[in-house]
Amino acid sequence: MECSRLLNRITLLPALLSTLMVFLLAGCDSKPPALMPAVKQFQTEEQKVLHIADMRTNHMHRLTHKRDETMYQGIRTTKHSFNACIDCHVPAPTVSKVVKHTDEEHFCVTCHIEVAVKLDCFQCHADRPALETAEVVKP
Amino acid sequence: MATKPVFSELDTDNTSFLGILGVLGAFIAAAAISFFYVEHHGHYVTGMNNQVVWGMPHVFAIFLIVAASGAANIGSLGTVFNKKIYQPLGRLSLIVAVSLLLGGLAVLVLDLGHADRLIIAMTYYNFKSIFAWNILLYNGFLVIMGIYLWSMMDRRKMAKAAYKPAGYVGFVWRFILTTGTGSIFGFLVARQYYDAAILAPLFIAASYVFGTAVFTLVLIALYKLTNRELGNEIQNRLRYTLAIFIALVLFFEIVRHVSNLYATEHHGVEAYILTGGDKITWLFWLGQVILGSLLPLLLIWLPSLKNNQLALLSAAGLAIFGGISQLYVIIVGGQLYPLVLFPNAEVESSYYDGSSTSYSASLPEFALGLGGVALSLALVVVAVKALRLLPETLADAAVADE
Amino acid sequence: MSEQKQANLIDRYRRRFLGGLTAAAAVTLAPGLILREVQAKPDDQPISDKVRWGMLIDTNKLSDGGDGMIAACKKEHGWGNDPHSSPEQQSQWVRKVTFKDKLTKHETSLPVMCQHCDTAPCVDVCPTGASFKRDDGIVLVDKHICIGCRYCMMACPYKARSFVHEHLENQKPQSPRGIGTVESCNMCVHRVDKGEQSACIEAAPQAAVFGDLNDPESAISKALAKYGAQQIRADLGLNTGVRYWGI
Ligand code: HEC
Ligand code: HEC
Ligand code: HEC
Repeated sequence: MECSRLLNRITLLPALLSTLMVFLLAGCDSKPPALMPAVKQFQTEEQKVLHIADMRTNHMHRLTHKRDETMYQGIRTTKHSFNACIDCHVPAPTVSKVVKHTDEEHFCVTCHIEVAVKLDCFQCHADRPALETAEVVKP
Repeated sequence: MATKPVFSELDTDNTSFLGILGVLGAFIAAAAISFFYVEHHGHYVTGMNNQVVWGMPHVFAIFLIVAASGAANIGSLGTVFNKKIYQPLGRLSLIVAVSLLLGGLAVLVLDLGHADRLIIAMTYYNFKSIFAWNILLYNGFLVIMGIYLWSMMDRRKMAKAAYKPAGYVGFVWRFILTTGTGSIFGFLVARQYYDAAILAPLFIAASYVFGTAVFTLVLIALYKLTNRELGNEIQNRLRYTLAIFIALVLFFEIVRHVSNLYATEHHGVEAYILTGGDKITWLFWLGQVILGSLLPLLLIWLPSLKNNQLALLSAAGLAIFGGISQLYVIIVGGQLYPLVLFPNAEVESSYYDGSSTSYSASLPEFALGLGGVALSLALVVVAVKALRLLPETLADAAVADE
Repeated sequence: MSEQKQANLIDRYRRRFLGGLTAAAAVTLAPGLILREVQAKPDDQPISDKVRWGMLIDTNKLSDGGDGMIAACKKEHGWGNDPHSSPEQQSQWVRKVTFKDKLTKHETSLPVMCQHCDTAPCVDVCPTGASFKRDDGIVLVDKHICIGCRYCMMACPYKARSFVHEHLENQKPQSPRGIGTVESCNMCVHRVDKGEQSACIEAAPQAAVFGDLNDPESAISKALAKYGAQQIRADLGLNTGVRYWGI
């Protein structure tokens, strides 16, 4: 008796949590918070649409996969590269404005505050493009 | 004449039980605050640095882990060596062992640079690493001690059948565990002070000292608290166990230092530890040798102090102090002495090559270490309150004479 | 034998010896050659265990004892100025070590960094496998799974590793560093993978070569085959990827 009730409670918890997760994700999918617009664009509209669809649901898997590929096999294509995300999505620092990972408007942060998933990536990874890149971006 | 021992829960009044928990809880809270403080700021608020990478928390953690294995020895003596007199103490012995291990592991884990990644330590294993093996050994120890304790406490047939095997497995496991802990240092070939196989037996012998000392203090305190009778017979057994292993540790230390003095390459580090004049030298001679070993031996073997409980308590306390000093000398002292990159040359750099560095533990490190001790004790107190671990009497007449 | 004659002999021997070094170092003086040396691997291809990257540093040719190389490393990776850390706590990917022989009083300075051992003690001891050796011989920390236990720092014979003691801001994009993890010289993997050489080597072209130790035709292998080289603490048998002349 006792035991089965406990078991029930144990299985209930993850079930509840995952339902919550789905809600949160769905919330993000259907009505994403106002995100910082990308600084660089894709060459074609098609690429962009594919990118958005893929990234909204899969960006964490893409990043983890890329992370291991780069760390262990030295594969350094820009596709799914962390630095590439930052270069496209975060404006380069200027004298008057620097967007940091502690700001809510930072591309990666806006959503993550919304869904309450804490990112530790920026303990190490640069949260803004390097200045050299900034020069290149300028039209 | 020995009768079958009757076990019962801690039958003290609630005020003293809660009082003790309150005091221990304060220490645990201080440790928790220290953890969050260091976690929030980073390790720069501690005394540890890139020269002395393991400091006071590791001294405490390793003390508790090594002591855990020794505390279970009382159980092994009863089961494996069939010493009847120790059998009533088996349950308490295992609980003390498990609690010490948990306390030690907590300190070790909370000092990690990324304590939040503990799950990685549990899921990624590098089987070449003695550290990874230790994680398995520690977890195994907890499970085995759990089964062993159950086999002592449950009256069912199955439990009775498991008693002996569990005792034997536990006995062997303890050896492997302490060897593994000693080997954490034994494998560091580059550090002059650790480069010796004798560290493993040294740690095994030390585990008996630490474990017996802690167990003695806990036992006497609990019996005082509950007003139960604790005869001289048991106390004298503990007294002599303590003495024998203090002497053995001393012997291993002499062998270790003398053989180091044979190897020319180790002269530098030996001179630094034994005569360097630093805090380490004082801790070695005064802390470990005189106060931590010779004085307790004296307290135990002076005929006029026979059956003197205060002498036993002091000896156990001093042995613990000696143990902490010993581990500090090994862990911190071994790192203070610089790595030798170029023998036969005077070496200097902007990064402390060629000269010994210094280390002084910060308050959060002490608090974390003491919190681990408090956690262990609190676990023991709660366990004896909830479970039937303590024999109602250990008077001389009640314990078995062989 | 007259003193005069003996001095001549020593002189001749000395000249020959130094000549040899210059000839070998001349190899290093031709930057074009070195650039071709480190073949650019296509970005999408995994690294290969046929390659073993290594460095050779001629301490006689380092007029500044390695200061320039160290400055280049700092600039590339951004370590050494963590605001809260004490000098003992600062990261030090590479440092200048000076040693004076007790007998001859001869003084030598050299940069000491991760020696990229073949049988690296740090790799053996790491409980999670975060400390690892890439197929091409570069020893790295996978900081994503580093738990910050510092056992590798205890094990390293060269004190080549540092622990980050505080939160950092504004790191270099090419070299992520962060609190609570261990770091060390990574031979500039991000450059090597692109077919460039490490920042420190570029800063001291007259004194240092970078290349594939497994390729008998590479300049570094040729120089090593001809003149040999020393390892720091060769007695430990770690078969280091970083070799020196003049220590
Ligand atoms: C070539 C530039 C580029 C790169 C590289 C890039 N993105 Fe994007 N990303 C865009 C553009 C353009 C959009 C469309 C939204 C906009 O224009 O602001 C977008 C959209 C997204 C969205 C959907 C936002 C929404 O509206 O819901 C996510 C999530 C995303 N990117 C994540 C990433 C991640 C993670 C990476 C790195 C693996 C990455 N992106 C790399 C350009 C880029
Ligand atoms: C459109 C909203 C959105 C944007 C923009 C976004 N994320 Fe996410 N991210 C999410 C959601 C939702 C999750 C949680 C998914 C889950 O847990 O299954 C997540 C999870 C992650 C995870 C896995 C975290 C974990 O602990 O499991 C990583 C890593 C991550 N995001 C990185 C990034 C980075 C880097 C960026 C910026 C380039 C970014 N994200 C931008 C919505 C977003
Ligand atoms: C403790 C430091 C640290 C943290 C935290 C960290 N990384 Fe990294 N990461 C690194 C280092 C170091 C590299 C290797 C860089 C190199 O070799 O160029 C790297 C490389 C990567 C790469 C491949 C290089 C690139 O630009 O694409 C990816 C992808 C990546 N990390 C993703 C992540 C994600 C996602 C997170 C957060 C969940 C994260 N990292 C957290 C240190 C860190």
